[in-house]
Amino acid sequence: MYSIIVVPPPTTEDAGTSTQFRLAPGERLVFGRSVPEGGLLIGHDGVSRRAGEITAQGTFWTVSNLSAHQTYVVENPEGAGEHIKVAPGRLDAPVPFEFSRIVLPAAGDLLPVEVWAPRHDYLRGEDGTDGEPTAPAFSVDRTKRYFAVLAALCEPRLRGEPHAPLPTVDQVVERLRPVWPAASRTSVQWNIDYLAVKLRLKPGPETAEPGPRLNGKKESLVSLALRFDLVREDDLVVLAPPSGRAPR
Amino acid sequence: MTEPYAVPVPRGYRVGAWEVREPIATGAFGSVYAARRVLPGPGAPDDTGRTAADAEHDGGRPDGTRRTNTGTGTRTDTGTGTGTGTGLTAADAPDPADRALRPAEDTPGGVAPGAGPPGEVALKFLPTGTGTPRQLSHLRDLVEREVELLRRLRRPRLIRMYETLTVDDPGRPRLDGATVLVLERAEGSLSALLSATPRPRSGPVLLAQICEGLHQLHHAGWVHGDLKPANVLLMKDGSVRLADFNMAAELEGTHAYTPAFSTPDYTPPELLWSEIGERGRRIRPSADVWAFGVLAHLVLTGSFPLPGGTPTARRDAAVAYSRGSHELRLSPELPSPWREIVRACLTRTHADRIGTDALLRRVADATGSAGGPARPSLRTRARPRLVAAAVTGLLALAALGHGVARWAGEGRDPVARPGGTASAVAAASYGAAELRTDRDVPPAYRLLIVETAHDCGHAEVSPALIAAMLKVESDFDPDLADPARDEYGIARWTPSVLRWWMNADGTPGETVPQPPFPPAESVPAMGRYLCWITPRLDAGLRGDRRVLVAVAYRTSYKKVNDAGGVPPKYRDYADRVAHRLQEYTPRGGT
Repeated sequence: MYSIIVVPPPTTEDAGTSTQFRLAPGERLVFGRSVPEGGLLIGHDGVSRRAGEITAQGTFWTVSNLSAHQTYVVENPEGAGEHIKVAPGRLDAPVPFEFSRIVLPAAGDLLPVEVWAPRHDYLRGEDGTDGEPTAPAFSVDRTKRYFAVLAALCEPRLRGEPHAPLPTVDQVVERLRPVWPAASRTSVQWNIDYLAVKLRLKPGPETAEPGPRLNGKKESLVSLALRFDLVREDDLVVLAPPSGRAPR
Repeated sequence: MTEPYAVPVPRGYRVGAWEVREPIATGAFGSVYAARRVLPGPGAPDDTGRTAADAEHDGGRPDGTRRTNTGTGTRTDTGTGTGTGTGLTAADAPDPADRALRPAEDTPGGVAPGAGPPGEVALKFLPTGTGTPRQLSHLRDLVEREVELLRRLRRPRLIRMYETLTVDDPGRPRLDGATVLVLERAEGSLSALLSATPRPRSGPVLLAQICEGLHQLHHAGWVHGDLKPANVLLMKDGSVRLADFNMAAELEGTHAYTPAFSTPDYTPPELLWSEIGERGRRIRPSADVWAFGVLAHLVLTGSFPLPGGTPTARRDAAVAYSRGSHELRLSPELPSPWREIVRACLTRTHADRIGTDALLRRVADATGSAGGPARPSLRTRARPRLVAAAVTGLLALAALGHGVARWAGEGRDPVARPGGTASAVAAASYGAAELRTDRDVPPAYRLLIVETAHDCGHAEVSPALIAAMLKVESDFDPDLADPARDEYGIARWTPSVLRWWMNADGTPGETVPQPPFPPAESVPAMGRYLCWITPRLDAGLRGDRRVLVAVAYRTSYKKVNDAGGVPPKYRDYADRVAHRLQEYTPRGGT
């Protein structure tokens, strides 16, 4: 029942394998150089002992800057520079982004703490209906990169080949290049992993079985997305390059 | 899924025997209109489905008209070939998408002939047309759920469906292909009543009847999945009917799978942000019990039990309550017997929630209604007839197989079904001594699996083995098609191989069969092949003989004999079969 996920900054010891913190609404996570048990330890001398606090609030979250002198910047990595500043001592500043990167200045280094808010709700047309709306359990933002990745994964099947093999990550990267020039294997894989979190994909029973199933996650995502019409054929326009800039 | 699925239908529009009157409501998945009969009832000899008005309307376009009729289990063919259309499509339209929408015909277990629809009905238009700009596969699933439930269940507190129709009107692309449910006409909904009178004096009586409806639904093995005031209809005589079964799902053991939709205010906390698998969201009857608790609080006090001014705030409060960080503070206006009932419904975890039987008793006590909690007619039991039919005739198996396909929501052709609701209950526990009922073996396949195994005299060919193999081969997918490997259907038959096993009398097919291979063909053929393999495996091979039989099915008995056990290439397959075999074998069994 968690609503936000905090991803600690990568450290040299645990390259990419650090634990994520899942916070349910109302839960708090303290971060800093010296935090009580259960907090997010950031072992860098430039970080305050108790540097700050993240609180999940329903579908969004707030951050408190407990440091004495440093301003924290919360960036939206997909927001073309969109960011908010949290001054020292500011408590419970609300953060509106689905993806955020809290940048902690630490003696010349910038330490990123990522926070995901996968429960953001988006408008569904409900005009003309009576009573309380029956809402789908999924809420996706069609402007986000994860949606483009999902569309690229679903494309072969949406184009009328129900049993077409799924594109590989490299093929997805190529497919997205015109709309997302900076796409890479890592970023596409990151988005696939995020989609599994966002769509609350249940790990299939196959995961308990012997034998590797490398395509399991992609396969499940596509199957879910097509079954619930998260991506439809007319959504494939997100894969088309913006008009006025012809693909080379 | 960003637009509402309203279906605009002009007043005076004709669908089958019905003329559309005023709109009643638009829900999340379709629109409901009042309608009155302008032609004699279905099945009547003079029902030609043709009138001058129709001819004008459709310009005399040649078209077939077929009505599918739940009530009497008959269907009426009219105007085939040369007649004028009446806004109905032929149910046998070649479009496979349309075939999925003809589930109402040939339904045994309907009401007695003659209990046809009255002159005034409600028509529910569901936008399933192939001409709609979007291919709404999930919508089709939702429609099928509702039709399936209404077709199979007839209970006093559930809204009644008389027939289903399909609009055939290419001139109106938004309407063309729409599914139309002809339903019992209600006076209004609880939602409308509550907005007029927030705390109706009849509240306790209404709640008692809603509870009866839930009890009837749960006893028949279904979960509603979206109980809320808008889905509770009130009849002219003031009695209650539950309606809108788009989220309803048939129980498989303790769970059912519903589409991932819900109304936040009535969703139990364990389902908020719950994990969702490819088949949808796992839901238990206790989800309806939570919704009933919310509904009771709302009807009796005019407010929601959880605090907050918006559904989002109340959802967060529900999460906080279930995590134990908030207490449940019910309104002081809630009368005392109801206070305990609502508390018993709104427990933090599903496991603590009151069962529907106990709930019905307590609600009946609270309202003083001696209304029929456990009428004998509500009990559904296995019918021995069904078992006999399945062992004797492939025809019966075919019926079962098609029923299965419908159940799985795969849009297959539901030609016939084993009778009514009784079979559903029987199917869910059939052969429980040999095949566990609390695993993911779809209940509708159990009979086929168990009887296929019994047809073979070898102990190795057990129901659990066949179920395990179907799981590993296709994950019980009757529509599996793997052209690359030339394997099709639930048992992954290769057409040229199936030819040798397709006939019950052991003769090969005259030609190589073409897919699709429905389960009713695939599974018995698989059983015959397994039964033939079993005595051909050498004695003294390494490993579980049942697993070896399965491996021989995948490769050949010769390869298994040559390898002296599982050939290395098939170890993964063998492991998976062994895993499922153990999982599906009842405890204490072999």
